[in-house]
Amino acid sequence: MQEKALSTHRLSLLNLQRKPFRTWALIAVVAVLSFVLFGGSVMTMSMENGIAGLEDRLGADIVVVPEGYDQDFEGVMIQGEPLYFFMDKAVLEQVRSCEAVEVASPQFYLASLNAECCGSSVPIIGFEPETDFTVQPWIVEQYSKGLKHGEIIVGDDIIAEEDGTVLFFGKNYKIASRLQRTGSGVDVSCYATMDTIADLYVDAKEKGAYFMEGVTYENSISSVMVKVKEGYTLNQALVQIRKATEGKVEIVQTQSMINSVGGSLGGVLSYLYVIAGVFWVLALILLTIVFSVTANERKKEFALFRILGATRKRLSSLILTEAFYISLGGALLGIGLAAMIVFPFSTYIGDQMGIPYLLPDMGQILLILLGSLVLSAIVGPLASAHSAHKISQAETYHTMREGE
Amino acid sequence: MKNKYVVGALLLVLGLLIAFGPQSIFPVCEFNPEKPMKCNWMGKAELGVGLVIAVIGVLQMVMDHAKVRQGLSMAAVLLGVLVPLLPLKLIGVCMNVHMRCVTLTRPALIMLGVLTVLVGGLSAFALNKVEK
Amino acid sequence: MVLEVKGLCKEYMRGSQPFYAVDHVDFSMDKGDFVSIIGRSGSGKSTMLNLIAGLLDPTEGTVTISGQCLSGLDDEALSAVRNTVLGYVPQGQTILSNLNVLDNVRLPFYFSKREGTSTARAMELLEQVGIGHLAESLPKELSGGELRRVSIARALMCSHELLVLDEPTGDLDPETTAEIMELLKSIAEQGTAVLMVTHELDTTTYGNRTYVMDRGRLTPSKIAL
Repeated sequence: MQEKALSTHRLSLLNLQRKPFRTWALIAVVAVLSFVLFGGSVMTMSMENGIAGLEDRLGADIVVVPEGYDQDFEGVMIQGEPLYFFMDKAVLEQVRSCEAVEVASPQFYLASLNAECCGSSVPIIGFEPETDFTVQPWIVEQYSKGLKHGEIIVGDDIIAEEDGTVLFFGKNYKIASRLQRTGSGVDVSCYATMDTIADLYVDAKEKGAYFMEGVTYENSISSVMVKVKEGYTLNQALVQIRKATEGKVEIVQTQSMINSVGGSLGGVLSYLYVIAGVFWVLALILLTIVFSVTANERKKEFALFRILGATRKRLSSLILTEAFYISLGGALLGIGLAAMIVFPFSTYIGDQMGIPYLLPDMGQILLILLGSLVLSAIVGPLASAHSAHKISQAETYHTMREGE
Repeated sequence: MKNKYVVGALLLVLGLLIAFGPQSIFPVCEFNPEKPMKCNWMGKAELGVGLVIAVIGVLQMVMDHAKVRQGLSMAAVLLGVLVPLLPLKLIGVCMNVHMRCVTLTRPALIMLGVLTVLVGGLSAFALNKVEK
Repeated sequence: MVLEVKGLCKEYMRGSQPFYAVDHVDFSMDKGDFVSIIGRSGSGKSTMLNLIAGLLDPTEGTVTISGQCLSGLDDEALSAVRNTVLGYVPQGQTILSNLNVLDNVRLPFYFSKREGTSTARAMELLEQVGIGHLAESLPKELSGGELRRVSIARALMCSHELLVLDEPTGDLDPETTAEIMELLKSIAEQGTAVLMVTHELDTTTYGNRTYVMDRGRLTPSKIAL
């Protein structure tokens, strides 16, 4: 038979085994803590990532949309809602005429049919490749050179048919490239050049898809993405555009749109931090109480260890090791459970929150993991430090007597 | 032999979740008679698989012979493998990654499947030791 | 000389009045000695044993075990003495319930840095105290006498020069008491110095010397043996 040394490690484990209920209850406390820490951090990071991603992706300083459609524009961008709205194409020239405008690029919004590509209706957005500065910089996978007539660019969530196409209004369109993931509505959107959109528009009408009366591809656009020229303030540009368009349009400042989405986020985030902090302190207090009660119960046992020749240091390390195993076990359990929820269900969580939600990259996740692990695993030793000190300093003669 | 009740109860609960979860707790997309979707059929298939797992759980609690229970546990493992395979490969779910059969039903079924495999596997392993 | 106690005192304050729990005690033991100390409860016996084991600091006097004076040793060195030279069997039931009998005996082996394994030595000791067949049992399956044998084996695990016992038969029936005393006698005969504190007069007949402890003072027994 292989002989097992009765090391500090093994004595701690044997003692934990002796009181399974106490052990599991304490592990559960730490598990709740690490669950909140890890799950909360990953969700927080995902929201921050989503907002930051949206900010980068919108790219434009100002977006001009038809009067009263600023909410709809937000719906397309953030949630990927298949909404469409149109205004006179003349707006584009009016905006371009402003001195403070560096680039103005038009977009044209359509929506696919429910039964076709992707199982539900998605936004199809036409853009002008020559002036575009908000779509093409984000291409991550290129399938064919350039963007030819009849080809489209898809967001990360769009699933292709087996032949690398998507079906719109009864026709297949080849996917030319794929955009970087954002966690926002852009992921479910499809992009095409204006002439491809023209084909789509015709097909759509044939299929009976009704967009808007009096809207023809030639004389309408949905939005104008604007980049402000260097040397001009955002406000100057706003004033000029308002003047040029005679106030018949809605001028969306992307920064304030993001702030309104992210503003509600700030509240949620500070809430999460407070909750995590409260949990940490609660776990620490709870464990401290339990450890000091059990240390009292075990006084006689510790006195015996002293009699048999254990040093004071050895007693401390026995208590600390036991506490460490409890908190390490709890930390791993809690993090494991949280990981089983935040990762597989991340899309669901993001959809439920209704704000851009993008999981952190591997490096960030590992950092969060490490942080949660350390913060949770340290609770045990911290909580038992006092008991360990007290027990190791106690006079053996007296503790032996008290234990009787 | 408290183990057989623990394993049996776990399999029973897992089986019922797999069977009825796709219709209730983590539902597949709504059934549209004009346009039935893959996830609807997938949910029906899981109903069958889940019920079999639940019955295996009940049998675990009733049967006394260790070898029989080991065999039942192995069957649970195999069915547990089938649970995530249905939405992943064999039938699949809807195409749109934001529909709830993709965001909710599929990950839930994958988790339940993995848990079923774990419970069945550990039980089969433990029963192997008992015999030796 | 295995044990030498010189002018050993332990002073306590009772109210504002100082009193000696152990009052200038002198005695010594050689290899194979079996010394019994009798006295009423509160006479200072246990205090003296704790002083000898280095668990209490004396007010005055010295304890020397196997040539090593305990005064001035730090915790590490004192622990090493307890672990390697002196086997102590405390009063009452002190077997750890979560370890089996064998592990209970092996335990002291791991309180100092040591090479090698402990099972062979522990088994040998269990055979010696007559319960080798119970090695794998859990403490709750053992009788009081058997448990006492385990604690004696444990005390001898790493230290066989001096065995100190505090009321080793206090809670045992007469028959078991006789068995334990025979065991201690045979241990002494094998060269270990055995020091036992008791309040049962009959058990002193097994030793080769007896002292009486009364109000902290130790005097050789006048009872003829």
